[in-house]
Amino acid sequence: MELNATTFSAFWADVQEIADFLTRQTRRHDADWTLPRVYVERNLSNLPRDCYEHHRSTRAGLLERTLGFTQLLLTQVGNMPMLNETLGGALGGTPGWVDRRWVAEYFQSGVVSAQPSAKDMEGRDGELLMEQLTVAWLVLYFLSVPMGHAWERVRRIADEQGGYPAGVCMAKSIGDVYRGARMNALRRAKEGPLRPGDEDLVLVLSAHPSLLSSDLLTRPDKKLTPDAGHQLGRCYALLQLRLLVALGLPLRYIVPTSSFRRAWEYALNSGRFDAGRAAADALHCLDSVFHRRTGGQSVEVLADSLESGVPPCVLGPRSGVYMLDTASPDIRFGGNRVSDRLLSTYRHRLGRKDLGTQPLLDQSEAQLAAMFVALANPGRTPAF
Amino acid sequence: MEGSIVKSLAVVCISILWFRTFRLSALARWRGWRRWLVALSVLPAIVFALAMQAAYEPAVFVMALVAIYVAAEHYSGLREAARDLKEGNRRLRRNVDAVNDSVAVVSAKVREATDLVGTLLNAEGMDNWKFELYGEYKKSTRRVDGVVRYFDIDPLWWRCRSGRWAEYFKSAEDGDGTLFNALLACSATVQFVADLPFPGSRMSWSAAQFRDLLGLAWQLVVFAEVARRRNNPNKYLRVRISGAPSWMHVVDSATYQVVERHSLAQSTVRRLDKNLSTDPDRNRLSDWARRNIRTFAFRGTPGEEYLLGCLRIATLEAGEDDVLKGASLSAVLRELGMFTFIDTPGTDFIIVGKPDEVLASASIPIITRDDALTLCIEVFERFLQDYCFDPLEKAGLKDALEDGTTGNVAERLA
Repeated sequence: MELNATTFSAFWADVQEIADFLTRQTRRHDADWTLPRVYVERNLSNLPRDCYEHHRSTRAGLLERTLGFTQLLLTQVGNMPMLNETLGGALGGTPGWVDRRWVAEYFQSGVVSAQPSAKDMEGRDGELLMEQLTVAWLVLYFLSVPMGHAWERVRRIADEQGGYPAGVCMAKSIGDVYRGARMNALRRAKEGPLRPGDEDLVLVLSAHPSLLSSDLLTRPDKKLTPDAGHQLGRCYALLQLRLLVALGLPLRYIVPTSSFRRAWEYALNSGRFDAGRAAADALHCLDSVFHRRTGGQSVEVLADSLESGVPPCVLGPRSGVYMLDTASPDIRFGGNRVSDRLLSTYRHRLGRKDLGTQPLLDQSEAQLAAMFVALANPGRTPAF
Repeated sequence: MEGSIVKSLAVVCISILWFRTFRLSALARWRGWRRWLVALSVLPAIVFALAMQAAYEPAVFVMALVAIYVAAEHYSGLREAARDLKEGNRRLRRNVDAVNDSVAVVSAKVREATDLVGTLLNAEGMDNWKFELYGEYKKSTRRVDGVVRYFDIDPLWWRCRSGRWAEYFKSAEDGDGTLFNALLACSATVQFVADLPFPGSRMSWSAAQFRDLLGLAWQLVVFAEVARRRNNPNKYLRVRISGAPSWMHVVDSATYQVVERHSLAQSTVRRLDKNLSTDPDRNRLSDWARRNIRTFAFRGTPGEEYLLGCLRIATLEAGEDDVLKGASLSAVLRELGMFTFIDTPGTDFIIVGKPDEVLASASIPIITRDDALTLCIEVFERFLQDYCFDPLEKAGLKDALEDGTTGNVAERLA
């Protein structure tokens, strides 16, 4: 098996299917919500035998294809700048992250409708590789086969390039911060009862609050890889946030109004911010995530942008990422993890009580709509 | 009477003169002035013999002289031999001293070369290194960071018969040279990094690959037990899976590096800080090596996630539903190459009745095939017990468990 147009289209067809399934699951309201996984056999064993066998073979096929594809990515694409330096440029061409033939095959497969021009593609092959590796990791994750190899390669490239591209890689690293916080708490809980405390607090200054809008979750991206991959990443981040909330860990999720407006308008590709629609959507989305809320959890809106110079970020107790407000598709760099020193500074600033935020939870639809009307008129002082 | 005494004295004098002359002459081999000495001692003998001709037959006197000559020759021959022997001894001693000096020089050079090139990691070298390393673990109070290419399993484990893990922990607690004993005495944070392969689709697992998974599971179980006894979550013990290229092992400020060759037995281990005399130098070196290891560890994923992932893939390929049921674990492990591992001669144990049993050394346990299988399965059973979610389920944290991947928590393998 080798990487060619056929393997690319087969892989991305699988990704599309999984992303659709997960997006539906992400908005579930039922109380016994759990992390959705693709083809969970445990729940299928009650099915009629032939139906069960069908699901089983589907899952086996999906797993086999994804494992094969990931292995090809890991072995055939390589670490080209290093290899080219080792071989003294024997591979030819400008040193890039991937083999050029590989890039050509990818675009020939037609998984993305428009192939960027050579100029536009310049220096972006690393981005292409990182996105595919991340999506491969996510598919394996949702198939319950956590294999870190693909993500480790992404991090290696990110360390050399100074960060992650906007999109699925950034979403995955945000999800990892939520997951890290949860695992941290569970590790402590292994020997005794779980008592969430201040040390578990997760702070978010959101740039694209998928938590408030289902349209943001499925927004189109003009990226090198299909939208399904980026959607899968956002689902991962949101699902990890839901697991964190379900465990009762403290969370402060701050949404600056300017970011929300910009992201909303960009997602819907319409010029005008519709306060009523945004309020109804936000209420629905918040309700699905916070149906069992504990005291330490809050979602707040910030009337203006934060003055203290903290970029949009997600800060866990031990790790965090900052991101650029990439409502414009032209910005390719997404963000990076924050160093320990910066993490404590940002946590201190975002944790302050005097940020002038207003709570979003426990509001009626009418109250939310009123808030959003104020947001829709940036010239006027917000009503809250 | 007086005449007889004079004659006797003359004979005695002539005898002494002859004895001394021919002893000397034998040594001198008739050269130089000694020729005159010979002539001098022959002359009185002739005079005496002629003078005494009337009294008795001169032939008797000549016979006596010949006897004296022979005795003198013999005596001097012996003296010469003794002298030669002494001289030979002296020469020999000189040579032995010279050889000893050379040996000391060569040994120093070999020591120097070993310090530079390292110790070969054959069975003996591995044991020696392990002994040294475990000693360092016991003294360690800060951090142990190591790249692991081979997860060592204590031979004691393969000797356990009943109650397996309970028996192992009990005997290993006081057993010197076991990982459990070393880690119990160690108060440092322990982090191992291993570069294990990505399990591709339809992968057929070799004996060596199964041994890696088994070793990983075994060490994770030991880590979990040590962590329980330490009861200090800040001093974690963990394994990360990441593509760490350099095989280094840092215990506080002691830095080891393994140079890898074709096989483990051809690789060498070297303590890099051996020639550094000051603590700051040693610390700088260990700091650099530790940073390198931790960079890779940081990007990697927990060992238990990797292991559970492999088990899940094998579960699906084995056509099993739930790996936590003991009955199917054996089938899952078969997919991962357990039987290939058992039937391939290795360094962990020797199966009773196999041809290599005859060549077995005392350090390798000899066990039955059934015991080997049971012990392998029990490693994975205990791993699932330690790293799966039973304790959390009991604590009512079911929601938290519905995550396909695990930190220290796994959900049932579906």
